[in-house]
Formats: sequence, structure tokens, C-alpha cells
Amino acid sequence: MKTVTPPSVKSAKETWIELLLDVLCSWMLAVSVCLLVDVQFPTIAGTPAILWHTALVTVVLALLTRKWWLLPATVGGGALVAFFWLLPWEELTAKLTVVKEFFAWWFSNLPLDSPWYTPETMHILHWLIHLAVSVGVFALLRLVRRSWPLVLVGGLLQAFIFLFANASNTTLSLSFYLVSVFPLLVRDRYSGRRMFSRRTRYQSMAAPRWSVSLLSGVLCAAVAVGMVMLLPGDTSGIRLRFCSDAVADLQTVSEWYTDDQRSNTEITLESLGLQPYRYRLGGDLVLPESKVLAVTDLKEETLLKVTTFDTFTGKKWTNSFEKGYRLDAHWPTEQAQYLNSLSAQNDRWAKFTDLLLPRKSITVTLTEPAYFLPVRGQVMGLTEHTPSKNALSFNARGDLLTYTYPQKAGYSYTMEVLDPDLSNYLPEPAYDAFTVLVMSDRDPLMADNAFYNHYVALPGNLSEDVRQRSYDVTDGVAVKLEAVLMLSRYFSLKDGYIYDENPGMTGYNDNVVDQLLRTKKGYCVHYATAMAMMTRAMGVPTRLAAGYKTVEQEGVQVVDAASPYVWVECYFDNVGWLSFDPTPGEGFNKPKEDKPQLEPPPPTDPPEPEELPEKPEEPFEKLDMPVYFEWVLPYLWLIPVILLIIRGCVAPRFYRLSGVRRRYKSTRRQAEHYYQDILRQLRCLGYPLGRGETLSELLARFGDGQSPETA
Amino acid sequence: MADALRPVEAMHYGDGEPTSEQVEALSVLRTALEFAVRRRMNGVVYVLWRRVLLPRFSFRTYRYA
Repeated sequence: MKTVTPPSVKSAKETWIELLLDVLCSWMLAVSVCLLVDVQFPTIAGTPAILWHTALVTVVLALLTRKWWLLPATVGGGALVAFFWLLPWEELTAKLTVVKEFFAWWFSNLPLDSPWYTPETMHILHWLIHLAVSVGVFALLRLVRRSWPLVLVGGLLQAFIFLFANASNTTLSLSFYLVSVFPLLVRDRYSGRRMFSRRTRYQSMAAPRWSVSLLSGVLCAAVAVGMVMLLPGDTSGIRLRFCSDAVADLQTVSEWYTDDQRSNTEITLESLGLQPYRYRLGGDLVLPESKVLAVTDLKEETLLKVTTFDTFTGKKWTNSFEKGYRLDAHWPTEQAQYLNSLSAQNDRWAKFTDLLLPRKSITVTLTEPAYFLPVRGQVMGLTEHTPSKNALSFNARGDLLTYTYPQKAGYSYTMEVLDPDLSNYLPEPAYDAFTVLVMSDRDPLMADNAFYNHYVALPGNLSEDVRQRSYDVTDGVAVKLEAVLMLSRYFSLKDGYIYDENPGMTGYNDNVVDQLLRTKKGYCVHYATAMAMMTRAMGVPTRLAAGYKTVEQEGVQVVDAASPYVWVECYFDNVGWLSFDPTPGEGFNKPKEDKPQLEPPPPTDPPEPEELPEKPEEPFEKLDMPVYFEWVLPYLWLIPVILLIIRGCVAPRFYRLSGVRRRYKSTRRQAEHYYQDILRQLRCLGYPLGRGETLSELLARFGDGQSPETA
Repeated sequence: MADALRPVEAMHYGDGEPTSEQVEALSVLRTALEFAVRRRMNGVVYVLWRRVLLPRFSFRTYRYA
């Protein structure tokens, strides 16, 4: 008996124009991805090279993708893309130890220092990356057979490119996105229906089905070309402010920061020019070259802060990355804690600040691009004079900064600050007001033991002399503010400390504090570190503020790169961070001749307000308040996972068999389809149709036509 | 089962198209066998295979399943 192989049911034949359109769309999307990769990992090849690489690769792949063996290659390409996406997520990779170790090994074996690291090899590497990306995008288009995932992914990519790319990349990728996505939108070929329509067939359309997508593609290309042509050369100004604001808030909530952002928000004493040696403080000071960074409207010399350091390791000051809060957004609690918002404070605070902290308005104009905006004291408000797309942020270090892009030269702003004038001895009402203020309410930051312990931590190699010296200097002073003020004046007035930019190198096991107390000479880093350690030994949370001392040039006060400076900020309950400058002599705290150098007035006992709530003297005894539901946040990702499991395991139990009925062109095709499906089912049940076996022989194997399952 | 499949076999050997009643019988058989297949397989595997892998990776027959 002659065996006849049943003909297969074939789908509607796609035209070569449709294939070409798919190639075009996937190529465009791949270009978007590649642009993003270039933003994250800038390499030598430029954008035109990317375009040619990707075009070539995708055309080749279009001819090959119908082969089954390309699926593993697709998976590999997808894995490579996923790798590049995973790179900035340090928290995630920290959990995947194996993956992290593998990539550490991979990077350690990269021949970056060898002769292989040439433009040519980097060109090849770039080409390989684009190959992988193109494989991924095209295979995704062929596999999912829907256009909406690509539209969605492409849209997200656009958002990220808007965030992180420069102007040319933004424009290019937006154009490519338009060209690639709209043909997909108007005609979703793989699902067999047009978007925004319930019609599943194309018969109702007047034109051939490929012409619709081709026409829309041409129109979108025209729009994209027109957009590129109409845009000015510098397109950075067209980025929408509210878009970057929203993304900044999103970053704050999700804590998703790129490596670029993390590296851009680091200022070290070394980069400021106050740390000649890389791994430890001390040594003879070599100041950077003079360069005007910003111009202010200040009348007299002052200190402008750019960042702070919270950890002293004994060798040097460090800080860690802090997530940023957008300045104009709704973060009242954080703003009150980190920048001291006036609205969050009460009448007692206002009374104290009227006595001690006069409000000032300072206008600063940048002359160099800057990530960090110089600030003074506690920032009450900020007005921008130059429109900018960059969202201004602040963080837990009290920095006022901008992410991703520096503010351009010429950017101008006015800030309302509380500028403390602590050079004179305070009047007694100020101390009274301070005492009332400190003892009135419970400060939320000081209630946090982690905060307190972090800012009073002392390094292990500090000698006991520091603690003893702080007790000696502040002996008998009850008010903490007064004690800190005495410490800040100690180096200027007592024991013959002098300002010296060449104090000599610090010993390997020594630290600058002990060196200063021994040799009695040093520069601002020595004095500020010493005072910070002494106030921390007293139990006052202290950090090191770093910035610039303004200098007068041609009649105006400017921020000069050649005058970096550090001082000390101490935190007081319900008051916030106050600045103290302990550096004597040639430093900022130089004693003025017209001011008599008096001994501080004898301390007076602070009034004891009876009606106020009792407050423990030592913050060590503060109650440890539990933070409820904090542990839930890291596990929020479990919710979608659980939903997916429910959808995969529970919901299918209520499914019927496929609800989608195909309209067959003929009864013959319908029967053929059912027949193929039944053969597949029999194969699953353990009765495959053997090679050369007829249907009658297969049925005979069952035993007189009895099915094993349905009998 | 043999009764249901016989018209298809006849079609392969040159007979004409099956009647609509015969196609309906094929459909009923297919549905019954699908439940048998599902009883035999793990639920998760079945859903993954039947709903995801089979429609996605089969370019010929089960495209609209």
C-alpha cells in the first residue's frame, strides 16, 4: 500500500515586503538599544558605525532567523543584552554571587592593559555587541508575534535614553523609535489584526495589507527626518523639565541609579586638592591651579559647602552614595531633616534662629559646569534664574546636587540660607533659647540610633589623648552648643597652634589628629578632623563639610578651585547642622584685630523648664523605636511572582480548551488541522505514528480501534 | 476513534472532503484526547507547553491555537 504523507496546513504566506518591514523595524529598535548601550558603555566606535554594524547584522539575520538552530543563538544574545542591563544594578548583582564572581573573573581577564586594547579590537567588540542586540530584538519580534511588547520595551528604552543620553543620541533614538514602532502599531501582522480594531482579517481594507504599514512607515520616517532637520544643533534645551523631574522622583522611590550617577556624586578630599596622598590624609599641601568655579554676590569672605564626609577611617574621610530627593518634590520630612525646611519647624525654633541664625539671600552664578551647587548654612529655599532641565536634588549628606548632567556654566540661582555667625561669643538669651529648643521636642534623627552611632563613631587608631583633650577644654560647660563653640576656638586661642601647609607626612600607623596635637601645626584638614573627633568623643554627631573659601577677585567674591577648605558641622537636637571652623591663623577663622580676644563668659546654668517633657541626658539611653513593615519592602517583588504562579497553576484549571476558533478556508483544511492535532495528542499519550506507518496500522495497534484513554 | 479518523484517511487517499458531521466528530475526538493529554501531564508543564511553547514554536499547524 502506498503511503501518502499528509500535507501540512500552511499559514498565510508573507510577502517579501512584509519581511523587509520586519527587518527594518527590528533594526530600528536594535539601534535604539545600541544607543542605550553606548550611553552606558561609551566605546570608541561612533554612532554611524553603530548604524552600519546593526544594519548589516540584521539583514544577515533576517535571512537566517527561520532556521531552528538560531534559537540558542538568540538566547545567547538575549543573555548578553540582559548582562549589560544588569550591570548598573549593584544591589541585584550583589545577591547573585555566582554571577558576580563570574563577571569579576571576566573583567579581570579583559586585556585592557595589553596590546589587544586597540581601536580595532574595540571596534570588533562593539560589532559583536550590536550583533547580539540585533539578534535579540529581531528574534523577540519573531517569537512573541505581537507588536505591543516591542512597543512597550521600546518606549521604556526611550525613557531611559531621554534620561541618560546626550542630545544627539536622544534625537536619533527618538527618530528611530518613531520609524520602527508606528508601522508595528498600525498593523500587527503576527496577531492577524489591526490595533484599535476588532477586525481580524484584512479583507475589509481597501489597499493591500503591506501597503498600510509601508505608508505609515514612510510617513513616520518623514516626521522623524523633519524633526531632526528642524531641531537646533543643541537639543539639550528641548528636554522637558517635568519629564526629568518625574524620573528623578522615580529614581528616588526605586533607588535605581546608574554607575555614572554614582560616580558623579562623589567628591573626595583628593579631588578637591586637600589630600595629596591617595590612601591617607596629611602631607604637604599642593593646591590645585587657580580656576574660577562660581561667582557670588557676597560682600565678604565666607565658606561655601559642596559636600560632607561622615566616616573617618583613621586614614581618611569617606562617604557613601546617598539617594537623592528632588528639591521641589513632596519630601517634607526628608527636606526638614537634611536641609532644614522652615515650614517644618516651630516657634521655639524661630525664636532661636532669630537670635543666632540671621537669614541671608545669596546669589551664585556658575562659571564652570558643576554637579554640586555651593550652599551655605541651612538652605531654606532656592530660586533658579536659569531655566534648566536638570532636576535639583538633595541627599542625606546635605548636598545640593544635580544628577546625570552637570549644570552648565552660566547657571544662576539664589538661595535663602540661615547663615550662622558664630565668630562672636553668643549672648546669653541665645543659650537660653537653645536649651529650650533642644529639650522641647524629640528630634526624629537623634531618635534614630543608627544615625547617632554613625556620626559619633571614632576610628580605632585614635589615641585616648583626643578624648581627654576634649574633656579638658570643655570642662564645666553645661550647654552643648557652648562646649562645641569653645572647641572650635581652642586651636585659635590656646596652646600656640599655627596654620602650616607643610606639616610633614603622617606616619603609617599615625593619624592627622594625633599628629596635630603633637606638632601643633597643620592646615584645615588637620584642624577640622581634630575638632570632629573631639566633638564626637563628647557625643555630638559631627561630620566634615568640604567646599571652598571664597576669595576676592576684582572686587567680587568668587569660588576659586585653588582655595578648597574643610570645616566641621555638628548636629543639635531640633536645630540641625551648624557649621564651625576651627582652623586658626591664616585660615578663615583668623582673629580680627578689632575684636578683643576675651575669655568666654562664665557659664550659666540653663533654665530648667518644668513643664517640658523629661529628656534623657545621654542619647545612648534613648528608646529603640521599632520600624514596622520595613522588612516588607525588599520582598515586594514576591507579589507579582505569586500572581504569576496563581495564573499559571490555578487559573488554567478553569480553562476550556482553546477558545480561539480559526476560520478555515475549506472543510478539508479544517479536517487536516484536527488530524494533525490528534496525531500530536496521540504522540503525547505514547502512541506515535511511526515512520511509514499508516493510520489503519496505528489504530490496529490500539486493539480493534479502542483508544487507551477514551475507551 | 477509528470511525472518526477514517474520513481523513480516505481524504488522504484521494476521496473528497469530509462532511461537516465528520469534521464535528473529529473535533469532539480532539477535545476528548486533549483532556486525556492534560490528565497525563503535570499541570504546570501542560500549561507551559500547550499555551506558550506549542503556539510559539510551531510555525505550521498550531499557529492560532
